[in-house]
Amino acid sequence: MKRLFWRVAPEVVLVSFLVTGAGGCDPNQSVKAGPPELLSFSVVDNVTGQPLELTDDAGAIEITGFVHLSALFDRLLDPVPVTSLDGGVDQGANVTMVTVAPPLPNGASVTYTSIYTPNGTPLYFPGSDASGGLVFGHGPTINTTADPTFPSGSTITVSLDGSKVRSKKGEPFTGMGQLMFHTQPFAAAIAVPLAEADPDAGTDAGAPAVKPEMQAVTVSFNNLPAANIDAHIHVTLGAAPFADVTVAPDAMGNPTVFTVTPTTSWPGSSTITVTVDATAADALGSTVAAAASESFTTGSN
Amino acid sequence: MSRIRRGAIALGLSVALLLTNGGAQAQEVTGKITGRVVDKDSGQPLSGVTVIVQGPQGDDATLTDGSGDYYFTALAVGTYVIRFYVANSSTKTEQGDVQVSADKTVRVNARIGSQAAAAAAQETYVIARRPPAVDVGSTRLGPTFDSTFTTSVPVGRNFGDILEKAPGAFLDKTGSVSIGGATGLENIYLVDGINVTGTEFGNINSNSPTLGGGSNFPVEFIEQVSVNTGGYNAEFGGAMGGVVNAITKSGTNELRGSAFAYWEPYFLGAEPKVVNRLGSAISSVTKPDYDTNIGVEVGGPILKNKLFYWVGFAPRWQNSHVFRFTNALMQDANGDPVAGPEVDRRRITEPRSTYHYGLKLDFVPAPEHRLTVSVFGSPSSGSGMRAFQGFEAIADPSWSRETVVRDSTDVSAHWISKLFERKWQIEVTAGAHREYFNNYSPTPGLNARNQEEWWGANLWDQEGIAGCQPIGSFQPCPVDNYHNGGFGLVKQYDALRWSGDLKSTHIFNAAGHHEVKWGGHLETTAFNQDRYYSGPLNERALARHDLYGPGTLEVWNFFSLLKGEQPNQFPDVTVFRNPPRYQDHLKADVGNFLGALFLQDAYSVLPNLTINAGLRGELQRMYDSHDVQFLSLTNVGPRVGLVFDPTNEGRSKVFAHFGQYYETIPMSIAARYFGGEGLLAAQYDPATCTNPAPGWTGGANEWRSCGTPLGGGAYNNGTNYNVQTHLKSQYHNEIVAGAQHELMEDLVVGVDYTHRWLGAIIEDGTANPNDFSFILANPGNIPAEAIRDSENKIKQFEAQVAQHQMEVDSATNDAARMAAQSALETSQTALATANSFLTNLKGLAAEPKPERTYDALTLFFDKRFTKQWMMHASYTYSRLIGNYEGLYQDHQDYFAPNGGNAYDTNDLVLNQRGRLPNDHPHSGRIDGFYNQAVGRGTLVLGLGFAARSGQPRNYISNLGGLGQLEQLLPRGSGGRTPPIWQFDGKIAYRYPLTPKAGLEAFVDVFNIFNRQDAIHTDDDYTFESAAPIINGTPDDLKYAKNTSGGPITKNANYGRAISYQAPIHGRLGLRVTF
Repeated sequence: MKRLFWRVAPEVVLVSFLVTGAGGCDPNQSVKAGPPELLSFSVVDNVTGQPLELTDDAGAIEITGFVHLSALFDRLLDPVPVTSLDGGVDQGANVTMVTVAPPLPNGASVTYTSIYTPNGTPLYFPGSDASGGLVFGHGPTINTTADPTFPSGSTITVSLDGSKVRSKKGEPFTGMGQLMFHTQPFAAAIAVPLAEADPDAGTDAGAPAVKPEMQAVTVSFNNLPAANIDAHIHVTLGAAPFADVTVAPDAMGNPTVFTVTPTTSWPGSSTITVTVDATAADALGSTVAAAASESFTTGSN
Repeated sequence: MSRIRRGAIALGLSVALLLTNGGAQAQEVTGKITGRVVDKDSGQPLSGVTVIVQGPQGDDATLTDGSGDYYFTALAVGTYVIRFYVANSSTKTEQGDVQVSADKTVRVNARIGSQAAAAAAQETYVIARRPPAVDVGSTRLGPTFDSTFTTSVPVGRNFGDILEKAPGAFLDKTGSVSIGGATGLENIYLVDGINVTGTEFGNINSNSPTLGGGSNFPVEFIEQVSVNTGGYNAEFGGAMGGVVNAITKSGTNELRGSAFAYWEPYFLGAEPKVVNRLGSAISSVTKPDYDTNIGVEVGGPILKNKLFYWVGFAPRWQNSHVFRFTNALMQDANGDPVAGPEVDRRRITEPRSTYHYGLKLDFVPAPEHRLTVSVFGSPSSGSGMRAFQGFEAIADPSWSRETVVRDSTDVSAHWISKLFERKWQIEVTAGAHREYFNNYSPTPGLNARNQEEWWGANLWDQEGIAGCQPIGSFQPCPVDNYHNGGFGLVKQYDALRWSGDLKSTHIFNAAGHHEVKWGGHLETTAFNQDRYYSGPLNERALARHDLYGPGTLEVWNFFSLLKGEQPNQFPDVTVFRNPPRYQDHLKADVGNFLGALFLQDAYSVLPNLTINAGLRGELQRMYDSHDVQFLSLTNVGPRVGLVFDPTNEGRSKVFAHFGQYYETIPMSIAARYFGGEGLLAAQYDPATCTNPAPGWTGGANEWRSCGTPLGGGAYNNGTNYNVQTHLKSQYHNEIVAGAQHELMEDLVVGVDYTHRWLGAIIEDGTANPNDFSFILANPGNIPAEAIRDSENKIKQFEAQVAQHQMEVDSATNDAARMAAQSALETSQTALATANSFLTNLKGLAAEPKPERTYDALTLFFDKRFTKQWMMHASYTYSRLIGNYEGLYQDHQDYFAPNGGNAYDTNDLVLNQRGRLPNDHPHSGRIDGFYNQAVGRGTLVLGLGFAARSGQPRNYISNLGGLGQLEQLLPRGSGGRTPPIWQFDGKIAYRYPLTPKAGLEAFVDVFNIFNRQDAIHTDDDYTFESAAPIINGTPDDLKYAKNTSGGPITKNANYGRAISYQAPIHGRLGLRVTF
């Protein structure tokens, strides 16, 4: 009988070779083996969302205490030891060991909570910058927050609890995972309205006066202030208290910033002084070193 | 001089140059017959035997050479009889029913008596054995469908509907056919050798409401369609999918034609499944009313054997309607929403009409010369309901209606001559493809009103539908992405592509038989587009309400930067909301020039062993709105293949081929990213608007009345993108190998394997988080020279800045200082732009190398039509893996060839590698028919069966309010949609009226078993902004956070079907053939 092919079909051999040798492989989408590596361990400003520099050539830099810690890993972690879900909401877990020097003021306490985020924390929030709000994924992250805040004027040392941090495949974290930073003593900064210079005024005209309107005076703290902080912000008209003002939290939601706004408008032809008194304290009871004040002068109505 | 005129002149000059130099390239519209004549007793080759072929347009003749071989080239597609005459004898040997297909070679060998014996015999021998069915001349993969197939098997109305009958091919979401793992935008479509591919995106016209596309004619106009799915030689190029080569009908020496009528009424179809989305009260379904297509086509001789005509006309009227249903939700005992009753139903009709026409003339002054000229067109217009991501709002039927006008016209001329005893064949093709598209509201006032988009809306507030009244805080009729007001984006384009080809073929013997072919292809395209957001002049925009939460307002408007400006100059992009950068119209008149040269040799070392080797060089240049060239790509693609016929009779082949295939970039990126497209998304505080936003209707002075924007983002530069130097063309490599054997007469079985892998891609992207300026580059594959060029440019600008700074410092008067300061600022801007470019370039260089790897093993069974039956059957096992989908992005339904969003931010490259959307591991199909004599006529039973695996599913999240773009989990983690299968059937009865005329009545039934499985599912896991979980699994989702740090909220509709197979539907028809 005549063969279909003149001998054992070589094309079958050829095709079989190509299929087995050059065929596409299923993509490997699993977590790579080995212990998790810590890519970065940062102190992040709660207001800007940006990591802070902790040292420069001159040594340690004092930073705001209103921060959180962000540990970025190179692979997914086992979520069980670092997460506590309650109704789908992550209640966090204690994954860091924090020491503070000097000790906290009497009666003060800080609760440290770590939240595991397998899909990372973005650096750029939507709508937060002129570029349109790019979001960059940064990988698995453990963010540790201090409630109410990190203490002011302290040296803070943080260590990751290696017994709880392990890869999704179970390999424990073996890296250093330590961080030390210094927080600034609690302080306030006051920004008063600025007058626009009159281009027609002579060189001897003196400092220009502020047009009396409803301009806001901004009081910024370098840490989360105590809940009664508004009671420590005072306005005087000359030497007399001026009560016709509203002290309100920042409209953009920054809890370290307050605005002082007149109910109607600032009085004309007056010198107005805004003061944060010396007993103003942060959320842990640390007071400012000294009262802070700033003045401005209004023109006629 | 306009670019069109310049292009036409360049084309003419180039063709002339090619003629004088004797070079060029064209696509095959004819086929070949070759073979060897031997003595039937001794087996020795016989030289000097006269071989005559008789075909549809007359006869042609040649002599066998010293090896007994003969060759016919440039034969019109059709059925031939071959006769062999021995010298000094009236004896002849005859082989009938030889099928000639475009660009295919059929081998017909003959064993005949020697001269002396023949002289005495005085008789005719008819070769009883059927002519071979294997194309022994090439390594090309893919089937050829002829008019017998298209009239006997249940298929759609246009030739584009046949393409998915090819092994491994299927219709993807583009509306065009995916071939070889590519998207539907990566094929090239040729009709009579002219490129009729869609100019904007590279698609074919599929009646999509929002797309134009390439020409697509009724199957009655087509003689033959070849679907080249791989392994094609150097004369073909420009495609990373397949090359579709359609040959229209021609007149013959006999008057032939048909009149036909198709009628598809609504009552022959079942109810389609309604897509219900959890979390939305609105659902919709489109139901056909009728689809009627009548036509006539006729061809015949004007001068017998010399001049032939063919003419066709086929109008088609389609009507359907859309129901929008509102189902109010109810609360269960726990207060959770559950499906409730239908409270509202609205209906809108969708009429559409298309008038296909065609005219073709063939002039054959001698068998060696042929001239063909043709004109085809498909003007179309219709109206329908606008759809926005499946959420349809028909508050006002006039609002939701859109008009779509499309037109395609193709004119071509093709001349072929065989000279010097047929040793030299020269072929010239010239033609034009025009495409027009216009999408607007038929109500003029709606083109002059802003469109409003509402998020978190409800139909009680929007439409006051009874039954949608809120119950406490519970909204029974929620709806997201609800639109009303004006029309939205109005779009029109007019494109004209001139093309010319010249091909020269030289046949000679030198250590074997050579068929050397070389040639060239020239194309010039003018693409003129106009787009605008509906609205009053100076206020044209799209207003998006509550997108970022209740009470938020974002307004989109087009802008273009002024000459010389760069996006990084504008820290506050909200200035783009105002003139002179704000644009009422975004007009882009852009152009393209394409040139290609090829050289190839089909070298038959032995009669049954052929080596195909070739090189194809291509040049593409694109021009922006100012007629300035912004892109120039050159590439050379090698092709090498080998074909061996073990039987030496044309009845089998073993083959392998390697090729490098480069993409031709469609016009979309030129019109958008080099046409001044800028999009401002500005956020406003609605409280600052004079008119309170809740009452907006798209009238005048609404968004313009708002105060200073709170912020905004600017996208797509508003001026030309910067282009990477040393830009490489987009291409892939391909290896095919396989074998075919004619198992019995007319029945070929085969196996083939295809391996395709990407080389480089061209995409836009940005990798600089502080500067949202895009560049066009080879992401993941940027040459070191490009980085060096960029660094050198920075050094130059730094030197300029230093120089100008010195000039400022040393200026001795104000005028000199001002001039120096101005120059300093200009150079500082240039330096900043160059720095931004380098940052982007380095970022894109570091991103993952693009990958799209396709492996496919196909088994097929082809029985051509003899002995009453015909069948094409195939099974393909394939894998398509990678991180780059291609020129179309499935999930976003984004048509942006080479300008998609795959590299738009660093986030978007994460979790991308996996099974790509067109990965369907198992696919198979059977198409065929059987003829049975019944009474005086013939009963035809046709069958179509197709099955394939489902589509990979994903977990998608939102990218910072920019859209559903993030792969929350690795691509393909969501499993697959269900497998799809479908049976189609045809029953026809053909009754002879005269010996040459017949009447046929037929019924086509599609999806006989009424399968309505899900084709696509909702892959949006969450609408919140959430970054990817790299290498995550569904188990990780419960720990995932949105970008605000909270748990992500799952889309209630996730995983549910968003589209289904069309239900069973039938079609009745009549056809008279003569």
